[in-house]
Order: sequence, then structure tokens, then C-alpha cells
Amino acid sequence: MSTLITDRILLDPRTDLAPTPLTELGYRVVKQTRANYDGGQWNPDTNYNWVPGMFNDYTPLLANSRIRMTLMIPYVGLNAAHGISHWIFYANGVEQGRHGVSGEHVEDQRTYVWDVASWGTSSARIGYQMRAYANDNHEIRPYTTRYWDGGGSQQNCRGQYVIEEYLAQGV
Amino acid sequence: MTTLRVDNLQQQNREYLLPVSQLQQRVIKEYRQTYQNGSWDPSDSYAWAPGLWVDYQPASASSRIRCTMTFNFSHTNGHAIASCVFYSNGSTEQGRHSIAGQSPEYRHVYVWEFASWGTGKARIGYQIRRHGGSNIPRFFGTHHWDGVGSNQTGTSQILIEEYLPIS
Repeated sequence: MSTLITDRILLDPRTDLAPTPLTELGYRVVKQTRANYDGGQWNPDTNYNWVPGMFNDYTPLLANSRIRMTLMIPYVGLNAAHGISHWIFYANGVEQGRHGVSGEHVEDQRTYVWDVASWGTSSARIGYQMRAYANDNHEIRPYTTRYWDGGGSQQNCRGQYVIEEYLAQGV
Repeated sequence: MTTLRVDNLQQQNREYLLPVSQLQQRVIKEYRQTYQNGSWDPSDSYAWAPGLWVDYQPASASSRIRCTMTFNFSHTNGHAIASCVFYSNGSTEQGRHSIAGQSPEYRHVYVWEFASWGTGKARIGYQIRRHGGSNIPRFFGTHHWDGVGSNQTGTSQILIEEYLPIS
């Protein structure tokens, strides 16, 4: 194990550039994981369930880091003009927050970002549970559309998440 | 060219070590643009949405590209419906989704992340069409404003961060 003690380092061989202070390297991603979900529409019911493609069983690299999860999820209101759904975001079994996704004739894709403290270095689940307001009525359904290209058509939509575990020492 | 091989860096007078292995992920190129040319009502055919595309040349073939877009969405006559397809490398579909609602007016953030296609210049962005002659969506504007009907000019932004991921 070798350690170089210095204030700054020159990261670029061009001599006309200023050396980089080490303090500017304090914010760094130490682990990352990501996934796409292309499994097509998911039909929720009136029980809270993990949304497929919107969770990960994650093992933090460090216990003193922070974990930022960016989730991109498309959805549509089905079987009634007014779609209603309930969402709860968990990390390590701890609820981080809850919100509704509702609206009249709603079709969209949203990007949600949650930032939580590491829970240690053991594996635990991080992600969304959701349920519908009523089963197959006033429902928000992920990963599909209602209208498309001028007609009524259900398209398969991609979901995506990225987890970045990071340290911000000295920043 | 010289190479110094070391496990850790340490700032003078600071206690913590900076393992070089934790510096793998880094942004190597960034691009941003702002669009303020007024609202856009898409047609019945797919077209590149103004302000929501960029001809981008990756710095590396082994990187990942994160494209963050934020823009206003509104309507012209109540129930607005738009079909949206996001592409990278000109014609590689990354995904599709609708944007619709009853009298919607809001501003959203969309983040797409995908692998670099190489180091050739190619287009990243949204192609969008409307549902039809009714249910017309309006991008980058407003419908109601300050107590009346008024189409305000919105600001759209794209931020591209190309980064080398942790291997």
C-alpha cells in the first residue's frame, strides 16, 4: 500500500494547465449499478408490491457514503379517465417518503431522484412499492401507453434506474 | 510521459485517504444548451422536437452518456396527447412514452442514460408527434397565465454528461 501526500496533482500532461487540488477530487462515485426494464406493462392491484424494474437488492460499498437512486418510469391512467396510484420509496426497509401519481387522462414518464444515507455494507432492497387506487379501475399502470400515433394503442415503454453511491469528503 | 503508480492520495494536513481506485468514474465531456424560441405545436408526423436534440460526438467509445432534459408541457384545447420516442446514435430507439393529460401545464425532467455508440457524431434526442387535429399538445409554452389565457415562452434545457463508469 503506497500513499502520496500532496496538495495537488497534474492530471494532464500539458504543462500550461494548473494542477488539480486534491480537495476537488473529494466528491467521487465509489460504486454504481443500473438496469433497464423492458418487460412491458405491469398491472398493479390494491396491495403494495415492488414495482418490477424499480428496485434493487443493493450492497453498499461503504457505511459512510450516500446513495442516490435515479428512476425513470413511464405510466398511464387506464380503465377510467381519472387514474390514481400510491407510491412509497424504501431503503433498507425504511420508508423514505410517499406520494401519489394521479390525474385526468394522465400519460407520462417521470424521473424521480432519491438520496439516502448508506445503511452499512449488507444487502438490502432500495426502490418503489406502489398500489392502484382500485383494481383495474382508476388505475395508473406502469410501462405502457393508452393513446399512440393518433389511435388507442398500448406500447411497451422502457423503465430505467441508476444507483450512484458516493463520498463527498472535504467538499 | 511519466506514470506514477500509487494506491492512495492524501491531502496535506487532512486525515482521510483518497484511494485512486475510487476515481474511476469521472465526467470526461459535458454539453448543454438552452432553447427559448417559443412554443411548439407538433404535427401528425414524427419530427425532431426543437431544442430537444443535439448532434453529439462522444469523447470515448467506452463511456456512458447521461442526457437530462427539462421542458414545459401544456395544451391548446383540454385533453392533450403527444407520442414521444427518444433516440441515440441517430436512429437507435432508447424508449418511447406518451405525455398526456387533461388541461396539463407543468415542467418535467427526463433523464436518459445509455452506452456510447463510438466516437462519430450522431443525434440524441426526442422525436414527437401529436395525437391528431384535436387533443393538441403544446410544448415549451403555457395555456393559462396570470389569471387569463396567455402563451408564455418557456425555457428548455439539455445537459449531457459523458462519463467513464466504474469497471
